[in-house]
Amino acid sequence: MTDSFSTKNAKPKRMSAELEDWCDHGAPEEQRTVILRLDATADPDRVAEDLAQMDVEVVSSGAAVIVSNVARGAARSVSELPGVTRLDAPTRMQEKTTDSLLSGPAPRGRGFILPE
Amino acid sequence: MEARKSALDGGLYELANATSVDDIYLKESSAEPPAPADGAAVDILEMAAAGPPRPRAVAAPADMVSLKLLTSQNIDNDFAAQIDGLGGEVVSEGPQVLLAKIPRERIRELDDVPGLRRAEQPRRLHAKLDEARGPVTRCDIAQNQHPTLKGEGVVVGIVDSGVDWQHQDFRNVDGSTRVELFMHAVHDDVSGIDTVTPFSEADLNDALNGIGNVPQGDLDGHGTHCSSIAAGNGLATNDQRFRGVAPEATIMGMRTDTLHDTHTIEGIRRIFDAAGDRPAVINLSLGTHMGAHDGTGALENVIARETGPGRIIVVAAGNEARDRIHFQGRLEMGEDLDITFTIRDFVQFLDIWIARGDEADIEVIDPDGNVMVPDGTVQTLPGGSFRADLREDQINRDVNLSLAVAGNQMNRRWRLRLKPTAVTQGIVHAWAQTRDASRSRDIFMTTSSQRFTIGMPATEERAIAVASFVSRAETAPGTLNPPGLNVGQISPFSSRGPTRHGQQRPDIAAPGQHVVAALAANSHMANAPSLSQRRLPGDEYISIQGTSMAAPFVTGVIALMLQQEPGLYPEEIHQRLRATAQRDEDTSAVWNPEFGYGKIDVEALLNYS
Repeated sequence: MTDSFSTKNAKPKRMSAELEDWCDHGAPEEQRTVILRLDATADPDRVAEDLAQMDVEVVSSGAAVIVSNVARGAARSVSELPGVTRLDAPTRMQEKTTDSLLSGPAPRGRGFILPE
Repeated sequence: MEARKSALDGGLYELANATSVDDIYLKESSAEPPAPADGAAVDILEMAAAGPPRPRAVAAPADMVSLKLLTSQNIDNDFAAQIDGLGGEVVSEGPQVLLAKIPRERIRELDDVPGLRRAEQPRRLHAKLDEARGPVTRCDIAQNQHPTLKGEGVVVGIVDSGVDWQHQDFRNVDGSTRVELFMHAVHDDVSGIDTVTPFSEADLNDALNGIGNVPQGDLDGHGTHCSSIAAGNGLATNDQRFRGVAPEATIMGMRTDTLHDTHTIEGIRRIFDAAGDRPAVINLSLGTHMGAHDGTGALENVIARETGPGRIIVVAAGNEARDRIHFQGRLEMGEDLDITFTIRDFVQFLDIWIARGDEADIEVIDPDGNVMVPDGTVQTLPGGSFRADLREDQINRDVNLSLAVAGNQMNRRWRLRLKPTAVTQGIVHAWAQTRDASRSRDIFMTTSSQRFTIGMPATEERAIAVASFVSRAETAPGTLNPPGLNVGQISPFSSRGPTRHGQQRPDIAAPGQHVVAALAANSHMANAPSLSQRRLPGDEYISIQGTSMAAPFVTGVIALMLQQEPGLYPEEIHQRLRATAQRDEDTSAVWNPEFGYGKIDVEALLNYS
């Protein structure tokens, strides 16, 4: 713990805080859908093969981004696969009318688990 | 008709000296005038009466004039009594808009009624999509010049709340479906797992014949409206007056009830895959403000990589221009920068981006001035709980500070204090979002601008980002359309560019204010009392507004362009939009943050060579 919370101490992170929280709490076999961000040189087919070897289901694969269902216990390993730069939780978006009717929780983005 | 300024509050009374009731008529009156040639007249009083419990207006005596009275928010309780005192009668009440009958000779006395801001005579509604197709965009002119350009052979994809595949406008004359692929995407909130179930054209035709089990097309109505603007054929009306821009395009749609970006990513890929060799344009009338706003987000990356020749994606710019959800500040050595934000929801989020090379120590200050240094965990101040997270973004290398706050009291101001220790760029941007999306406004009350409110993924360079301008200035009574809105002006809500790093977005402006298009049956829009006056008689169509409505107009136009030239690249479409956009006194010099390169000119686009 430091006395200051400074941007100069910001480090690259492979997972959002929301996913970090999720990894740390709950049954290892439970899955959720996540977004794998690939680096510019990564071959998505190769990453998909690596995921298959880990028994991780690929929902949607293509350049730059793979959508996958990942078990809690495997998430950190997935984030460290070659070619994977980051795991993100899905973001909920909004429709763009001023008469918005879609209710419910708004996008959490890189959200957090807070007491409510 | 003489217009004059009200002596009372400066509002424009346009009917101060009415001598004619030419365009004042009531549906039940035997004196109802004939409908205009385009058959598009819709009596506003009929609209007012359409949604219970509003009383249906009846014909006024000859010496009475029916008026719409626009009031301030806090009108006196005896407002109706004052109208009575003028020998008039309030016939229908709603928030800030009333319908009343007033003796003609006493209209001038309305100036003395406290709280009355404007009196308007009833007008025939021109709430119709063909207003958007009219002179403001020259779409009808272009389609008359090119009668075979109706989108045939082009796929129009809609990833949204769905498409009501049962609606007449998405069916052929023989009743079969025009929807070749319908997908139902579900996000399980408990498990966090996404699933997508596709249904083929054959599945939909079976369902139309009562066979099989295809889910309802659209629970909300938003996606159906967008689909209709881009590619509806208007068959639910005899004269097809509400047909979309590309009425013969092949439709593919995804229903997502939660609008998750993962659904969008999969929807884009599946639609482009299913299109095969056919050109395809996908409409995304959705977005978010949680992210870098620089084209490096996941969905932005997918758009960049999946688009190409004959593969185009159009995105709504956003409706947040007036919402005060963006903050921009400058770091300077020796000066603290306070990002002051107001609590509007039980949990709200700030996404703060600090340029690489800038360094600052961070403190959080609650409404009573209690200060705490974040440590990355959930922390508690007397004013509530918060959690801050800091990371260097692996892609753009900027510093991303995320703050979640659960304040104990609404409408109180917190501060995030940045104490600079090194400054190179000095630019700080923050976007706010509440847990309940409807509360995401008026967050940054002390320092805010309309600029930088373009949402993601409209920030992606390869997307066509669409702003909204006014193609009709009046909506149904009971709504709060600001007086003074003129055709041709930018919609006040339309998000303003540029992006965080100064890229020019939006690209183009299209009609998005009060556009009438298909209404999904049994949807929220079909049932919401608040929209009762927006629904047209018959409940097949509804008038709503937003850049959501402007984007599918452009989507439809691009479908026509792709019919002409199936291999157009996104960059070529950008270039043609720039080269042909209308520039006038509304747009002033372009590019600008409101209109982008100007208003879409369909005639010029389809005749581009």
